[in-house]
Amino acid sequence: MDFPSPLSGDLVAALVFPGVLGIFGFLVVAIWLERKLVARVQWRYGPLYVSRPLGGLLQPVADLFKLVFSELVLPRHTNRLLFAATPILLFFAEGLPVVFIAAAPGVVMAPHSYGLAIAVVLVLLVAVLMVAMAWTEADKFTYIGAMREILLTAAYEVPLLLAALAMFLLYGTADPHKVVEVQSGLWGVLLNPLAFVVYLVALLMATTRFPFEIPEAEPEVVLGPYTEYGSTLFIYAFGANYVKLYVLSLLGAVLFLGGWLPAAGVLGVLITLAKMGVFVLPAMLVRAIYPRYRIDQALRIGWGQLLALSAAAVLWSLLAAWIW
Amino acid sequence: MITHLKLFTTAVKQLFQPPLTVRWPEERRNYGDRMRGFIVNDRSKCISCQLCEAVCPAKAIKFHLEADGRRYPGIDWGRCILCGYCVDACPTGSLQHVNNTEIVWTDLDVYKKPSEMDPDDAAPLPATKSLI
Amino acid sequence: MVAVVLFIALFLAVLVLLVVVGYLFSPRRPSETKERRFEAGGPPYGPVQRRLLMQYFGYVYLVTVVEAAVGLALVAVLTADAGRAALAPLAAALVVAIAAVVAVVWRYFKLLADVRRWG
Ligand code: SF4
Ligand code: SF4
Repeated sequence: MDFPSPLSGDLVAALVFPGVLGIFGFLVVAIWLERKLVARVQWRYGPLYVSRPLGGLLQPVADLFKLVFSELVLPRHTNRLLFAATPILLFFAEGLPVVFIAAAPGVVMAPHSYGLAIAVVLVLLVAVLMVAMAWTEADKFTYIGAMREILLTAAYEVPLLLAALAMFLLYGTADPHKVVEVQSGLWGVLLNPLAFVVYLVALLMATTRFPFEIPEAEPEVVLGPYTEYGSTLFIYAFGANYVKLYVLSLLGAVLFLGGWLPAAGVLGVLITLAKMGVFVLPAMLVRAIYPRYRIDQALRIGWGQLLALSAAAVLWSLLAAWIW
Repeated sequence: MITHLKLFTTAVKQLFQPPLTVRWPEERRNYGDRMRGFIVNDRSKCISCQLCEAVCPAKAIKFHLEADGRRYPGIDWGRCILCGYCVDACPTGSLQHVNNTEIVWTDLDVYKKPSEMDPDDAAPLPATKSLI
Repeated sequence: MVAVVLFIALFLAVLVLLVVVGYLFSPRRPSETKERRFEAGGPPYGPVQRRLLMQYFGYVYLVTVVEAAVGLALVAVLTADAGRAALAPLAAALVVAIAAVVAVVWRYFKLLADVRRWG
């Protein structure tokens, strides 16, 4: 590894990317990017006045500062400790899967032969904490939001798992290093485009991006599961979805886009970062493109087309692995 | 699938359009000379006939006593809809629109109090961005 | 392993620290309205027209929690590279967990069935 001497690969992974710094940095960049892109599509400027030479990049930082130093209100009808703890746990749990995903050879916190599979499962388990959060808030909007979140989870869970499974079957491994090694010839997108499409749509559903922004539909349920929160806790409750996007796009870059290939070391990390954009940019743009589906329409897509596509992707993988 | 790709390409095309937003007060729009802006009263011509008060659909005009012992119309800008009926109704032409839509009040009471605008305040600000 | 511990510790520390900083240093002006349940703007006014039925929410919570616990146990066992030997404790754990759920349901079944108490 060509990192400066006191830092080994796993420490870089823990501290910089995809660890703590990466998560918070992504939060800032993603919020800025989303506002900027949507604004530009709608012929507006978007964030501008904070740090004008950077195109307003520091606007989310200013917003986060403002939120941290705004009054923390703990509503009277809730369990105060749980009310404060659940968003922290949610944010933490959304970030946890990066432990098993590699950003470059050796840049992984816990190398494991089933690493990517564990990461997928961890991503899918977080819905529990979302429900717990809504439960502690004890508000009708949070209840409805959590209910929608669970229904949506039911819609994307299986296709997401099947898409990942298809890739694991194709590569014959779930070890992040070996998965990328196998892709040194052809990337996963080309080996199994069906799985890629399913993964992209499931990613939009999992992070409740726009056509599926059903749990926090503003005109209907205020902010869904985050309604009661303010101050720092709001950052966590609301930012958790961005962290999930971060994790899923990192996972997608490794699974489908050949991860850090064709480089290694610091350059490899940068390449992985760039490839995440393939998932992040559409996820940001959809806010300007789509209206919102009704929950039944989202469920129909999840259990209909998406499930059929993901099953086809698994079959494709089986055939490909058999022929190969 | 094709539809969704079209949607995305449309969005990406729109990304590179120049923004239409006017960044007021750095940029101002030019509304042309015949803009129905704020309304000023030339007291030397006003005959206190109260036609403007009668015609105002928003009931924005109230008369108030001035130091010279006569009553003059004042506009509550919180109610006025800038329809221009009062200007049309005025028999002497003392009420006139000025080419200015950008007045800022820093005091709510002054804003709500039926009073006249000083014609000197109503000079149009320089416009730097044309409409359309 | 050091890296994982470091990551978890640092991540949690930053998260908790930001909340504590906000709690200690933000200006505070408590009021009765702020601490109320959020009711889409206005304070509650008169009796509700239609009640939102929430009684099934508990089931949702139960289902997601049980699913998560079982899923985690399965993954932990299957990825431990311990082979078949590890399946016995898993089965035992599952039996215990299900027994606990059954016991709770048994104890409160009458209560659950009484729709009037859900209101
Ligand atoms: S412009 Fe219309 S609304 Fe305003 S004062 Fe004159 S008549 Fe009334
Ligand atoms: S209509 Fe004209 S002249 Fe008559 S009171 Fe109003 S401003 Fe004065």
